[in-house]
Amino acid sequence: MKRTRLLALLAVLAMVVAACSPSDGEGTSTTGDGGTDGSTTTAGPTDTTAPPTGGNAGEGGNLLLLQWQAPSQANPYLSTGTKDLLAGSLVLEPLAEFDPEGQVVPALAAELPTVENGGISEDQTQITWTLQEDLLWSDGTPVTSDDVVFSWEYCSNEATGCATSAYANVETVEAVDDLTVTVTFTGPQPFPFVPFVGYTSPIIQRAQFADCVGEAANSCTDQNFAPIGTGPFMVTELRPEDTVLYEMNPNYRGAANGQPFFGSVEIKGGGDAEAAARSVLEIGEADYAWNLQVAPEILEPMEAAGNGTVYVNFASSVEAIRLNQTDPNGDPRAEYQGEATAPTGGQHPVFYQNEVVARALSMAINREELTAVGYGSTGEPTCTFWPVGEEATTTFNDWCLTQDIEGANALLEENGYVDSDGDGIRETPDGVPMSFTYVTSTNAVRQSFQDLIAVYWEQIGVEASMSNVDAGLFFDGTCASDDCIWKFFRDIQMYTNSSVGPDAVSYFLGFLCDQIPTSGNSYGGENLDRYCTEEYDSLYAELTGMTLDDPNRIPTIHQLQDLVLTHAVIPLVNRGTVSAFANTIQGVGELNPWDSEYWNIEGWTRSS
Amino acid sequence: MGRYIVRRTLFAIPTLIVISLIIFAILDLAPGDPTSQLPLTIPQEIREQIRESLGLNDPFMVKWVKWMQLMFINEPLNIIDSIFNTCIGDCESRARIISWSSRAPALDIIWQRLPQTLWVLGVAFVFGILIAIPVGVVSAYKQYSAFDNVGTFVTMVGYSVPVFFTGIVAILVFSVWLGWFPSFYTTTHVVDWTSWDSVWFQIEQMIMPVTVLSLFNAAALSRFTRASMLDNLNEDYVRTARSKGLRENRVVFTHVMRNSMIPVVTLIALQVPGIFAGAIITEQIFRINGLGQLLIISIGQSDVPMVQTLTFMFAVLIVFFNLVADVTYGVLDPRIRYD
Repeated sequence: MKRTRLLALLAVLAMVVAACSPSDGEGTSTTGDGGTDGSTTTAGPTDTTAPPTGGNAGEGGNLLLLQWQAPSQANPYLSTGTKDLLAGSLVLEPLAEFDPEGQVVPALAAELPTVENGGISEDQTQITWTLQEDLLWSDGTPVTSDDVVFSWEYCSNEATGCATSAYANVETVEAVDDLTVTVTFTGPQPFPFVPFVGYTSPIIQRAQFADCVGEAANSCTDQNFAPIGTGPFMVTELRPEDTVLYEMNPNYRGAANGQPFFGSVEIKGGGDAEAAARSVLEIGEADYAWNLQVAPEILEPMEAAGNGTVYVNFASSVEAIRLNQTDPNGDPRAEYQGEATAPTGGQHPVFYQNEVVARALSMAINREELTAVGYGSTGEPTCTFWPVGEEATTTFNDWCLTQDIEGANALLEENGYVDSDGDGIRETPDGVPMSFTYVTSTNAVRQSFQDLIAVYWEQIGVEASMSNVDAGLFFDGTCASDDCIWKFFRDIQMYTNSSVGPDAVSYFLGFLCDQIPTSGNSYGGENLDRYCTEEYDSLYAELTGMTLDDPNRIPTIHQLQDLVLTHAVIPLVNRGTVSAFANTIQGVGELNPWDSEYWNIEGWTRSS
Repeated sequence: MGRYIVRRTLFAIPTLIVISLIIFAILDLAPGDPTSQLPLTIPQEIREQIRESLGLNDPFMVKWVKWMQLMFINEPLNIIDSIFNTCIGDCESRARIISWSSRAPALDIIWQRLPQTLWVLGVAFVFGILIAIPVGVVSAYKQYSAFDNVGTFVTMVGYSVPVFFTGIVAILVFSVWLGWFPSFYTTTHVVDWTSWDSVWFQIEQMIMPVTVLSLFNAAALSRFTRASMLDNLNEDYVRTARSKGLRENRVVFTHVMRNSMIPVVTLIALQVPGIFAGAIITEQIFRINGLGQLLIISIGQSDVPMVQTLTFMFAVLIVFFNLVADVTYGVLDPRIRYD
């Protein structure tokens, strides 16, 4: 009797043990055979192979990339963030891509269409692309213009729920012949390199995705996990939010030139940026770590360990203060001033077309100090919010680089912003105290910015009541809470805005009067600052009519930016994209902030 | 006993339905947007289309009934089909619970992640028990001896120093300084038991998380075992057993341990669901992409179907292991009868 009960107890224990030790193979028997890769993943810098030049494609072994935010799937059209776009970019290619300077360079296209070579129509409403000859998909079938047409059809079906704005202005896409395709826009497009350019809108194969258009897109798991592409690699196994395994594409057009060097790639996710940086820089157990937004005092000693190098490059990610430009004069857009609709306390119409306050607030800020505290070498103090190539050469705002508390105080005094009641806080000429609500997302760097800025502003008699909101609510596009950036029910908010591509026209759209998010349009607009002037709107209309080589184009962009800088935006720091590479990885060149960081992965090699 | 199990199982059904409704309501009320990680330049109309395609805008009850149908009809059918290789109804186009972020069936992803969670957390759990019970028994039997004092010290340290500290220290020492073990876990590694290299690779990547977690698990359990043993060692029946001339081994292992294990085994059974739920912090530190990490990521991405399915499965496990604990209790203690 006793023995049977003891056996029962043992049986329970045995069940627990059995449940805890299944063979690893169970439940993982997917199509790919990534099993053998296990032994190569720990290979550090010592895992050397033949010299990079003159070798055969795929002889470089395995390349281990750490993306601490792991890809969910590899179809960029259904991406939930850059992590998925990156996973897709090893496989899928667009017609043209952006280089690290933001210049458009051909990818699948034979050459770049221009007005001169007839690729862009005189009225700028059409662009004609010609594919390279003899392109093959990784399954060996030829790439045709029909696949290009399909990529647009896939996304233009609203039920697909495509996560790209690349096709917003496209009227139709038509195949002229097997290699030629014409894109017709709804109106003149001075910058036509948006659809099929960059890693947000690559070409997908019609044969593979034909049954995945519309609502069916969500159930096409196999296709979304392993799209057939033209790029240097193809997916062999994808585990959502965990690992992606790739193998070399045998039909890659560079194979004859020994590209890609690596025979397989593994993207590994999980953990956080700091752990990824440690793996590459300190331990030397991985080749690359993506998006290392790590405090400078942590990152710099890691780099000193000597296993790897931190790469930084700058695009258009500018951390900036935005001043609420809502018109106080009974404007229907002014929800944030209403009593019932403004539970979050914004009450300040003072920023509406007010140059003085915007300038004084900007003058008081020490951008050098902010950059050193928050970003170190991965950020640059900036006085422009569009720091892109030549278009960034405006010197209008350069005074802002030097902190000038005295000047700011003098400016406010002169214009009647004085502390009349002696409480240390100035009042506007109308007698409203200069005390503002200032919100940003919850994030250590942003809160230290708030702390510093509160001190700067205190010295000019301006009080900022700081608050922060969870990033999930702050950037919540449904605006389920009143804290989302689109509602902007505060006086001041701070975040980083960045442009998907280097196209000024689509970026500067975000300051037009008709782009203001209101309750009337369900907060669907890009002009979050509620900046609205006739001058800007008419100047923007001029810009949209200019060709890329128009000599007035760059001055117009400068003028537009200067107008916004005068009133609405106080730029602080230009944030670089930061990634780390093992010292043995060669051929990366500059980090590409405009396109996939893997844009030239076929040319990466490993030295001994 | 049989009737008791049946009754408890039947009672679990309404409990689970209510749990699923509560989870669903909480998730529905919580603000969140699956498109919040897209670049800000993606306009609102496109975000709206994405939300529409995911079915986010359906009314609450519609979403819940849909989910119930998928969870209790479609998914079980799918499991039956895949086990017996059959095709019940329209198995080709049968709708499944789809994750919003990966657009893949949520249960497939959970299934894919079970091995790494069970490997690390399960092994750590078993090791924890294997360490804790002997330590607890000896500490109690030799109360205030050197072993007891050292054991108390070690378990107190193990219990009070959090895993996120010991984990980071372990990585710093064994990965950064000594370079012995990898600081992340490769989930795609398939153990080939015939190859020493393959097995060693698995041991290497498990050793740090398992050690850290076992220590933590063992700490609490050994204290519990010790206390339970001490309670029983001073009972009259122990003195009776000794006075009857029983050997000391028999007294301790048959009489005292048997009675002391009743609360300990219950505690162990109740901790089993925790293995599946994952040690979220440990998984994060050692980059073991298991179920706990999946839950955290899904919450961050407002992937409601995934969060809903995961939390519901944890609820099922908790209800089930509560039943197991009660049944074990009856097995260990003949005085307890449920019928």
